[in-house]
Amino acid sequence: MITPDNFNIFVIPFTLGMTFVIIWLLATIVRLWRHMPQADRRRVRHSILTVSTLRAAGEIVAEVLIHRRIWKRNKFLGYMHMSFAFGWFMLIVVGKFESLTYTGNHFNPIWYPLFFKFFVPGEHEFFLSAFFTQAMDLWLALILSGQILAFVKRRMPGRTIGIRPRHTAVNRAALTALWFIFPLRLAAESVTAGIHGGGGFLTGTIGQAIAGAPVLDSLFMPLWWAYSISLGVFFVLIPFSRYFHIPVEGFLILARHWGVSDEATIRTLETLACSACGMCLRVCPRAQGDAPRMQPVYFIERLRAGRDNDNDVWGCLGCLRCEEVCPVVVHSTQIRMARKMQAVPQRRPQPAPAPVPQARQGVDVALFAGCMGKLTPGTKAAMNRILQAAGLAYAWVDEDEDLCCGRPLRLSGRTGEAQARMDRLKTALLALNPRVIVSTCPICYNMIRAAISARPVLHHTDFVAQLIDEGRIAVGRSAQTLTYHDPCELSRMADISSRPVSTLAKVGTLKQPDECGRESHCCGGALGGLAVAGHERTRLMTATADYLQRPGAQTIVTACPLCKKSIAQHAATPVVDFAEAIAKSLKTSSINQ
Amino acid sequence: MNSNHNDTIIIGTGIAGLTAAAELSARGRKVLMLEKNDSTGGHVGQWSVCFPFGISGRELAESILPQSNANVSIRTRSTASAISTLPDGSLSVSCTDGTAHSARTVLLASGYGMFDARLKEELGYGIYPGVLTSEDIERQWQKGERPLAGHSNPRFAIVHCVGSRDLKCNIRHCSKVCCMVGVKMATEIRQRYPDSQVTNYYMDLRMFDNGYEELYHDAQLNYNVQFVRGRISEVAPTNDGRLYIRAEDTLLGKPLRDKVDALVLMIGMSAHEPLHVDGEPMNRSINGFVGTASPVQINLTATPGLFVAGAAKGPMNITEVLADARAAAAETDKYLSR
Amino acid sequence: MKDFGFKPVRPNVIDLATVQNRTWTDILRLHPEMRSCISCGACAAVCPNNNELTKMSVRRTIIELRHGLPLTSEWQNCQMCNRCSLVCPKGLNTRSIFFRLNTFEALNDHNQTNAEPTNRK
Repeated sequence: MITPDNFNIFVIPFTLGMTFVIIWLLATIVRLWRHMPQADRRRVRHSILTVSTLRAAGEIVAEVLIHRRIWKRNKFLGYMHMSFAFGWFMLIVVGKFESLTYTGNHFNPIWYPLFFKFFVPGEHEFFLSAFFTQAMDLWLALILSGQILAFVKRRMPGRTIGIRPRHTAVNRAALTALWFIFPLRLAAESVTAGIHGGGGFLTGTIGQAIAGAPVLDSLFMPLWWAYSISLGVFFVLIPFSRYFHIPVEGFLILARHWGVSDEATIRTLETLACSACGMCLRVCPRAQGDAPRMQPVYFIERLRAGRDNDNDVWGCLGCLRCEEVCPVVVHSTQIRMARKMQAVPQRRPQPAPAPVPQARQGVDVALFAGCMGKLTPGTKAAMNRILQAAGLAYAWVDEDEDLCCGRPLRLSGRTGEAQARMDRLKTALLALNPRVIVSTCPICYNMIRAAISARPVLHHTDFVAQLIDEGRIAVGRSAQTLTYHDPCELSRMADISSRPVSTLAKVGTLKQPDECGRESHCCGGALGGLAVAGHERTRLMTATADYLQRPGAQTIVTACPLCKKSIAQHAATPVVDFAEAIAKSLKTSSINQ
Repeated sequence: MNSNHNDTIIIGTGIAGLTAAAELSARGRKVLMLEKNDSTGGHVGQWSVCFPFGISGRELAESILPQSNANVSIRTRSTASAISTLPDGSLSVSCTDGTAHSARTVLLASGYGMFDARLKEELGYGIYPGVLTSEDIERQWQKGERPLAGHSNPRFAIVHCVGSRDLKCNIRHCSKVCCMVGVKMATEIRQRYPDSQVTNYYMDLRMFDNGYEELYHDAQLNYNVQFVRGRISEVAPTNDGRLYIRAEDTLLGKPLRDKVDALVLMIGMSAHEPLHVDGEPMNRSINGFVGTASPVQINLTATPGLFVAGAAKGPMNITEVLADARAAAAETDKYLSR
Repeated sequence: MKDFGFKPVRPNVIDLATVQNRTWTDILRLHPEMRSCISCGACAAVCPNNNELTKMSVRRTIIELRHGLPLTSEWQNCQMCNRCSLVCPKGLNTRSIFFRLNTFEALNDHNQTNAEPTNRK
């Protein structure tokens, strides 16, 4: 029931904005739902009333409100995001209960809790009224403290939070509206308290201080108007700005927990759920280069506006450092991949040109060096020594013929042709009838393990570690110092990073740089980045080579032919493959069948 | 610090340093030479045959400066680490062994380093025994060794421009002499192994100096050396212990492969890390080698009294080094006479 | 013009005065460094598709593009493996040419302008 007690014309801007954003959000969700494949819809229907929804709710609280993942990386930024999200959320929830308790009416108008202090000024005694008043001021104070931090961050970037993103016009407009909201609420409620009394530790105190000032009456209505307008403007801008992540991120978390597997749905939700927090800014290896800003923050911002460019799609190296730090776990590399596939004509796969030689059948180990592996013969020679020491029968499947795992074609957006290459490789590998398949290239390893389930597929770091653990080969420890560089495809993509390090610790002393493991730097040679010019790659390679030489180890060890080539040619320290480091430390008397 | 009697300190006893020392001592200057290795002669001193002289590098180096020279003293195993200007304008050279030597002038004749061929891993140096560098072969011949002695009809492939003109290794410059060395080595191989086959793989053949083009002509006409314009980029072992190589015959536009017994890499010259002078690294020229003061002052560095000669300034052949070292000696002498 | 009973075929001469190399211009716009190719052939040497079965040559493709000639090299076989880029002494991102050729609409124009007479080859 709308009466003068709960309505004033100034609430209209807010109400319109709020209605608009709710309709927009619902339309977005409905559109996504309708484009979702049947199987996924069924999955959602079956999952809604299960524990997965509860788990999702828990994650929503932890990530959307508290921003746990941001806290873990950066306390300052975590507090800032938490204060806005959690503060505002509590302001809404507690405000709802406050108005509910006061009126006893469940169906208060949508604007009523927000402007409660306007409609019910001064002090009133009702159940828990003192608690509500103080709590509402507490949440407001929390938000305002976050806002002060945000202001400091804008004014003094680099001192406190590192790099900050530069936003587009609509995002800046929305940000401005957002920044007006809470100071205006503080001002409006304080002026109201000044006139009518009441208010908590914040608004009440300010109210008392300014009580009796002659301007209060003339400020009263304009401030409530301004508060409502700033809310309205902000809500209208939400769907067109990064703040759409606020409502969407919850749906993304739900969709993930409900097991939605449709690429398009998840990627769309991720695109909308990027909060442009800027965590990815620093870690992007291309950030310092001459390329236009292309970190996920900027790429997704442009993608939403339909203005993503050539470099956004083809200039990304695919090193995954951004995904490693993303608090929303936006798979921006996959989003770029989808754009690649749209940009490239999809050709029919070509038939395999020649029969696979069947000569060497029945080996223990089928080895695959891959395209790059042929250019790092040192790794091959070392693997041969290790396998001979272990007394295993082995064969390199691409000894006589150039086979390809298809990943390069995939990264070029040509998935059909990539599949044809993989099929051919698969036939060749299985034709050897091996007990285990081992690849010395982490890129090929990731492709092969996704394609072959009939045999165990291992990266050679794991395989060699296993040989040592099983006592098939023995290594000796020497006084040498080593720095291990984690290849992106091995650490971030395949989650193999601790085992190579613990294995290397058996042959020497490790001196690791600060950022290693899943946070390792990009070697600059990554297979993605088709549009990255040679000189830019050289810059990246030199930077990473310098970084890896900082701990001062005698040898740099890596486990990917691309990393090896990229770093070796720009480092004064010798760079060897994992297999070479182990082969060098083999005890000759270790043959132990 | 008994070395104040020296007029000049020469860093490096390769042919540049030796030539300058001979010139300066002939003009009555007292010279102290610092050599990081055990013996004098530098890179050239280890070459088995020097074109176009036809004598060994050791002979050539020894002919420049007679062993006993009253004006020249040589300290081997002394590696210069930094140079500083003293208040009186003279220069002090400190060595890694903790000693320091001063003189009114210093002549930097520290030459160059050889490119580390292991960085071009695809060529298999250090992995396959059949892959050798030009330096390895020259040294083995110099010592009287005979690599590949057991092979009948050995096939050789000579790869030009390894570690020259290669941005992958941050090297832009052309090392100038390797074209000639590669062709000279091909004729040398044909003389030492009369039943051999030699093919040179080149990007460009730059036969720029006197006698080079004649050498090239001779290699084709009289030694039947094959020339392929292409770059070997992949090497793999064969089952019979040889090397399988892949290139493109770029003139025909067809892939080309061969099985060879030895692959000889013509490794280029690379610049040493710059010495620190008065706490700052020395100026470098566009090729990364030591830079000089002006287009005219081709032997003077930015520091007064500090001169530079020979291949420390960039790739040079022996003739050029001899001329440059004499010029540097003359400049040094002029400076000392002021 | 008098009919001599045969049509003149495209001459076996590269006439630089009349070359139209729009595709090359497009590639240079995106990858200006490609100008510094010295045709050493390292790329073609390591190319897995330059063999008995397929005759793709990176070096040849670059020259043909530069001269506005029809592409005779079977570049469609490119599997983007990156080996050519890894060995290029000029540090060029050579494989980007094939990736661009695959996406260029301009390529259609290129092939039309430089359409090869059917009786050649």
